[in-house]
Amino acid sequence: MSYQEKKVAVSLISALIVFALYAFYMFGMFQEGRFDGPEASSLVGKSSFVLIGASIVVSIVVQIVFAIIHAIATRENERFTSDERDKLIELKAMQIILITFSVGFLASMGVLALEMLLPYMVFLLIILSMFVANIIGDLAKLFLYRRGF
Amino acid sequence: MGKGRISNNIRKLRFEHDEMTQKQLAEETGVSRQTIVAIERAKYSPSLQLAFLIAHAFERPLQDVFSYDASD
Repeated sequence: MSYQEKKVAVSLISALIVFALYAFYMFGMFQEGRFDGPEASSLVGKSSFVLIGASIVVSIVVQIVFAIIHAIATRENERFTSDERDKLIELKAMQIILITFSVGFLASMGVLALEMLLPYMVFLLIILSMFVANIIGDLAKLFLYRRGF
Repeated sequence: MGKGRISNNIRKLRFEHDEMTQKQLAEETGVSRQTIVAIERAKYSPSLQLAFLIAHAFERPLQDVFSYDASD
């Protein structure tokens, strides 16, 4: 497994952990009945900022720790910058992320239009779409690195 | 553009250049070893700039390193 593949795998695992913690936190609030009142949508909005902030911080910290551990473990002078193939894979993954998120967003709007779920649940569905899109994007990167491009 | 139309002689040229390793070629051209592996296996077609850099590393003209088969 190359450095770039390991980097993507680490990013995937950290994203899964962050989202699992977010889901656990949101489920806790749900059980406490905090989404029963009119402030439900506001709570989801606030929590989304916490999720995005935490995701960025965790991602940066995990990547730095991974780079240090990898350098110590392999004793290799790996390139930490990306080359043209890495950039193409990144672009392809971004395209997949945007398509997946668009599908999720449209599905959420459909659910909202048909009044199948409460508005705050639709916001949660949009956040879930973002998460799923990122996971699919990371999986696509792993696949493209394995295949060559 | 279809895949598999561009073939290369990188492996042969590496052998002819004192068995240059993929890592050495990667360092000389400024890409990762995995990118060289992908190019060598014809799984990835490099940009024109990288193709010239590879040819320059072997001190050969581009057509000695890469060839294009229009019939595929």
